[in-house]
Amino acid sequence: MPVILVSSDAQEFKVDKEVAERSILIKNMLEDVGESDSPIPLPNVTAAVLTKVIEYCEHHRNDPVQVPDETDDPRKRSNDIEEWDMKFMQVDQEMLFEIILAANYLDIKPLLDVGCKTVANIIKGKTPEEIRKAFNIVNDFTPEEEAQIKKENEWAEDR
Amino acid sequence: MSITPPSTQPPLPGPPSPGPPSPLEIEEVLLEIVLHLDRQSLHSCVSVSKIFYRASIRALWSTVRWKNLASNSDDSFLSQFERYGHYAVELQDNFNADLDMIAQVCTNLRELRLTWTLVWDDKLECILRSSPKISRLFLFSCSPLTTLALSHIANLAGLRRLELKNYNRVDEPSIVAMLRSCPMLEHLVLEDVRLNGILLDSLGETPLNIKILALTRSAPSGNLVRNLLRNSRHIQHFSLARNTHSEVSVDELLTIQDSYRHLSNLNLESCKGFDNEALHVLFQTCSKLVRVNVSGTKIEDSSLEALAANCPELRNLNLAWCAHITDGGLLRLLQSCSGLTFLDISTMEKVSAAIFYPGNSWACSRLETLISIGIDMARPRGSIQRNHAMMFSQLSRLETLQDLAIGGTNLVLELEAGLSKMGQLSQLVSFRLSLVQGVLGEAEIRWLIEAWPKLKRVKFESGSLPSPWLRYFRRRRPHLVLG
Repeated sequence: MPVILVSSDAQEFKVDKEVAERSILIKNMLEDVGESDSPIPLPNVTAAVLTKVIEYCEHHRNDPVQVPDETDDPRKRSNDIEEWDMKFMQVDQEMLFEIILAANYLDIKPLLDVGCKTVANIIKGKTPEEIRKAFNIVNDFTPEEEAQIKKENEWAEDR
Repeated sequence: MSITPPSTQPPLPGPPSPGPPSPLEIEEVLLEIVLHLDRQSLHSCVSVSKIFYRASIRALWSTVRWKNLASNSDDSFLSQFERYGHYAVELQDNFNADLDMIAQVCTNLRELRLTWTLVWDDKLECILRSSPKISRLFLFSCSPLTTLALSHIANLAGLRRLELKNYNRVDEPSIVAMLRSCPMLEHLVLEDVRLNGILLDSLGETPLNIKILALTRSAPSGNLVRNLLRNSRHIQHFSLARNTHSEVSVDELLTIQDSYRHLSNLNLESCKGFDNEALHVLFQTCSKLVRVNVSGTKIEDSSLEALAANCPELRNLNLAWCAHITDGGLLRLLQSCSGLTFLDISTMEKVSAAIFYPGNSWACSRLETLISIGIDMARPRGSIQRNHAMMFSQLSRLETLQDLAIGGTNLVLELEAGLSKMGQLSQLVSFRLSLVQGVLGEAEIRWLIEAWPKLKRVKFESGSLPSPWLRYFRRRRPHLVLG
């Protein structure tokens, strides 16, 4: 049975239940509500973003549910983005950010992961100033704080 | 450090409603992002802004690395060190590291790497005692350590990976004790460890969980190899690289037929102690091989044939410096191994341009890397130019090729010989030209500059490309890494 999702700008999307349930938020909602064909409002997601998110869920509809990594290494690697996902993430920064926000809100862990890896890849190899510039971030440290941070973390500098 | 609240200046009239917030302002999302970063990038992140600092400081300090740094005793460093805990510590070239401090402060290490560090057995014992959960341990060139250290390592019941390099004083009882009390050990590397004279007979029947085993340049006896292998039923990667003089017989390698059921990577680089028969039997036994390095061994055509016939999953093969392989043997491999993605056929004494005969089309249509430096282009008889034409024509059919290295004293790149055919290699990313004599012609250089649109790296033998042309090259292809 299809599920109807309604974006913040009131567009309706009819998707398979299996696809919609890639979102843990929607899955839980459907379980709470039980059998019902009333549309599900998603006030935080615009139609443009929802289109992308559904595209992702359609493509990954048959993926096995992610199991947490068994290894005790907290470090993950970011160079292991699948080719399809990589292409999927080739969007402008605004859309990338909106996809991440939507994945976070809708609780779609694999999509959030791919989004985070994409941002990590942008950060890699950049200086603090380049990172600020890339994401339009304001430096809110005082010069004293900056000096302190530099001193404490000196060991990690490339030398 | 303490983060002071934002300054108390009156807020400026901000821009009109900026739309949805940035995910970089959500700390939990940022925490996810920094998990994918390396140390250098984390180091940048801590000074970007306050929220970046909060998200990345813990990840940065989870792996602490001291290299040539005396700041161990620095107060601010120490307080940070204590505050953020740590997951892994790495000391490199740090002779006077305060190991007592590390033993005292680090109680939850999972990984410890000591390189060129002055560490004595008892200091190591203290560190290992405070962090009994260490699962990865790397001790490189820590000369004061003796075989006693192995008995301290034996207390790490959860040890999964152990690498010892440049370690001279080990004896049989400590190795056996360590292997017996670390049942989780799955990755063991002994490089430049003096193993000669150690037989390991006292290991007896001790099932080991080792999946990756490398005994590199350590002169292990055949007996030791046998005793390790017959207990390691899950072995996947096995390396005896650079044990030039180790005498290991077929019987010692093949103690139990099915012990190689899972073996996918085999590295026997420069193992001159193996004869062709041993290799032949080995390749007939190991049908799951994916990566094989037999460079500099006595391998002959018959073993190569066994490898090609018996290992359908072979992807990666290094045959450099194999002086006994002939054109015929190599050709049979090239015509049958369709799955190869990496092949090194450099400096093989008996191999000539005959492998490029147009009638013998190569089956390896998935080849991504080909290194063939030093093929004798003067043989077979006939003109050198015709041999080159055969080579260019055969290579140009390898459409998936990304990385190509060619060269040799009698190799010449000439458009007249059909060099331009190689323009078909549309996926080529890296091109290396080594050991060529003489200077490239102008028309050839002009052709090379434009030839491959995807090219990112190119390396010429010094002298083959005159410097004005080098500058011209740089101007035409500014994004190319030019070696």
